[in-house]
Parts: sequence; structure tokens; C-alpha cells
Amino acid sequence: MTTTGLMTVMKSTRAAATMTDTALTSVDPAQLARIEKLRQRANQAGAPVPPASRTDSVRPDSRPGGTRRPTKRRHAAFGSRVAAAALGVSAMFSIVAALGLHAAEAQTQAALPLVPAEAPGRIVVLHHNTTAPAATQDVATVSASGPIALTAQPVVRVVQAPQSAAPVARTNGSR
Amino acid sequence: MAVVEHHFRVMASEAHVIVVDPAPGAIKNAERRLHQLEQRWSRFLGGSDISRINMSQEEWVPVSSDTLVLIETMQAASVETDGRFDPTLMHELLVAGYTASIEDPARVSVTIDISCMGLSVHDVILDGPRSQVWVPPGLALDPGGLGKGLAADLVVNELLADGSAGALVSIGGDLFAAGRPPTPTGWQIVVEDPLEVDHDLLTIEFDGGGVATSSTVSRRWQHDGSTRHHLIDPTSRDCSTTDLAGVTVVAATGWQAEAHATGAILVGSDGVIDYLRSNGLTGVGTTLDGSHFASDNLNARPTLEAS
Repeated sequence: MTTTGLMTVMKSTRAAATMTDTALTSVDPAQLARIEKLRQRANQAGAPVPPASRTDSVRPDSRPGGTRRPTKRRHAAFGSRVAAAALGVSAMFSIVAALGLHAAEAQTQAALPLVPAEAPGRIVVLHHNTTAPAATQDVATVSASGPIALTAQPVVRVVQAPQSAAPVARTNGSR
Repeated sequence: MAVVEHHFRVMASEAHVIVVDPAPGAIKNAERRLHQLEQRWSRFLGGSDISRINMSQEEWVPVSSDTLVLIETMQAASVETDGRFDPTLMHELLVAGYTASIEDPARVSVTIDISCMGLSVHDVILDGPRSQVWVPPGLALDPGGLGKGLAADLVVNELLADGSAGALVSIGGDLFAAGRPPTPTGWQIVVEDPLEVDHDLLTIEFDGGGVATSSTVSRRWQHDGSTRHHLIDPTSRDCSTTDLAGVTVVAATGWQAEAHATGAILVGSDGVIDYLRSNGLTGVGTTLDGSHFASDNLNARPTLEAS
């Protein structure tokens, strides 16, 4: 596979650097608590390991129990939790006191990055030649309406052959 | 009654749109909308919502309302199939060699390295009011065929809401039809034989619903000297070793048909009929050696009986 048009970006950071984002964009204590639990679970299971190149971005050996140093990771996670708690609490108080909850939410939304922040510490593979539109060009602000759910199963009939004049669809598993 | 058809490429597949008594601009709107959904959901496009989610590093990612619906649908599909549909197997897909778009090899998966075990799609946090998503570190999403089925559902419903009398949208054979059909007896769908090009298994007819086919003989490639395919078994976390070449499922919606087609093919020939029956589904499966299995209501078909 060609690597033309690809850019490998190496970043160097810790997860704690992004804790502020989470604290500022979510004021729901239950959500924050859930995020913290998920972070702990992810760290216990083994967080992603930066690959060395685009080809190496697929790393069978990056499974849990690979080349990580658990002691260091636990230490970092502990620091992250402390940082998250501190930043979260201070941000909450500051926002509520100074601007009021609604104003704070408006500011937070306005401050959302158009593209993921280039926080250091991992390698990401970017495709340069994409024709995709700007990341949040037409981001909707309405809430999700949930999956389309119909309860009744269709009544299916088998026919001998499609009617020649009528349009017929075909299914084949994307052959 | 006016019936309009249109074929075009989208989501690395052939799209087929049929509209009965179309509202003004219906076909154009359907094509534009499907391309928009691809721009939002493709894991091979750097600016898509899915790629930005997969590149996120413990931060909230603003996404479109379509993507919130997609992720909620992924979670629902996981529940409906008892985890057989799993959109978090991106690491395994990449290991198997599915790193670039089949349509355009220059388009590669855009993601951080993902290798985290023990997390699931249910651990993705959705913030509907702010239209944003948070994923745990190490988790990446691949909509796969579910995105096609859901896209068909969404676009058909939008076509009907805009005033068309009936509509069918098929993306690579994952389809949904609703409203007035183009024939007096219903929408007709030809189920192709997964093992033989230009050979049809049977033709079915219904008043509306979703149809999808999951196959292990399409979308194959060579990787590290062996033939691989896109169907990853969540239990082994490797390419499925099912003895089924393909399963076609009819369900209430396109996304449900796609999710259950995946679930049904994974259980293999020994369990496929029980799977369809226990989920109240209509379907037909073909083994790699050419035998056919069908749900009770399709067994009258001579072709299937003969096999």
C-alpha cells in the first residue's frame, strides 16, 4: 500500500493534559464520575501504545501485557485523577460563580475545537488528500432522536421471478 | 404512478434508489444525503465524525446528530445480537489487513492505535444536548455495514417525509423500503447466490422493511500470505471461521437486518435457523459448500428444497 499522501504525526503528552477539556465541557457529575471510571478501566486493561510508524500503527503486540510498565502507568493515572478532580472542581466553581451555568455552557460550546486537539503522546495517521469537509462544518446541535425502531417484522413472500417491468433491488453482501 | 430509479457509488458500494411518485428533487436529495452520511461516518475520511472520534484522546468530540443516532444504533445492535455485532473491533480489522478503503486504497483508516480490551460500545458516552461524544482511551468505532443499513433507513424516511409516496434505498445490498411499492404486490428483492455470480437464490416480496446480506466471500484480501475477510468474530477477535458463505436477513429496519445478518452468519450453519427463529426473522443462508438454509416461511422455494 502506498504511503503517498499520508502524514505521520508524533505527539508527546499525557492524558492529564486533556482533563481540562472534559471538566469544562461536562458539568454533569454523574457523567464525570463515569468518565473517571472508564479511564481507570482503560488503564487497567492497557491504554494504547504509540506505534513507531504508519505501518506499525497496527500492532498485535500492543495488547495488554505487552511492553508497558504498569508501575509508571498507575502513577500517571493517579496523577491524572488528582488533576481531574482539582481542575474539575475549580472550573465548576469558577464558571458557576462568574458567569452562571448557562453562560458557561455557551462559552464551553463556543470553545470546542474544530479538530481534535493535537495533544502529544501518540502517533496518529492522517490522510492528506481527503476531500472530506471541515470537521464540524455542519455539526448539528439537536439531540439524538435514537435509533429507528420498528417492532413489526415484515411479512415476506417468495415469488417465482421478479416482474420484468418493475424495478427490483438486489442483495449480495456488497459483492 | 411514476417510478424513478437511480444508481451511483457511495460508501464503497453500489447504491440503488427507487422512488415511487417522487417529490421534487427526491433523487438528488437522496444522493446528496447519502454522500453526506459517508462524509460523517467513513473511517477512511480524515474529517468524518467517526475518524475524529477515533483520533480523540480523552476529550469530548462534537459530532452531528446523525452520528449520535449511529452510535445509539450501534449500542442497540449490540444488545439485539447479544454482542455478535461489535463495532469496536477496529484493531482486529487493521491487524487482519483491512487498513484501506476497498474503493480507494489511498484512503486509509484514520485512528490512533487502538488496543484496549475489556471495553465495549456501551462505554461510549453520548451527550445529546451538546451533540458530543466521549470514548474511553483505546476504543475505536467502525460502523461497517450497520452504517449502510441505517443510512438506508434514514434516507427512506426522509424521502417519505418530503412527500414521495414510496422509497427504497439500497447500499451494496443493505436496503430499506417503505411506503407505496412500485408493483401492486409489493417491493421485490432478488437474493443473489453468494457463491455464484449471476445466479439468484430466490426473489422475495414484502410491503416494506429492511434486507441485508452478510458474506465472507466478498471483501476478501491477501494478508501475510493468507486470505482474510472483513467479518471479525467478537469471541475469537479474529476473522470468523464460520462455515457460512452468506446470510440474508429480512427485518423491520435496514440496521436490524444488517446487525442480524452479522449475528446469523457468525453462528454458522448449525445455529443459523435457530438464530433466525429465536429473533423472529426471515432469512436464508448458504454454506461454503453450497448448501442452503432458510427460515420456515422461505422453505417452499424449489431451489432451496433441491439443495
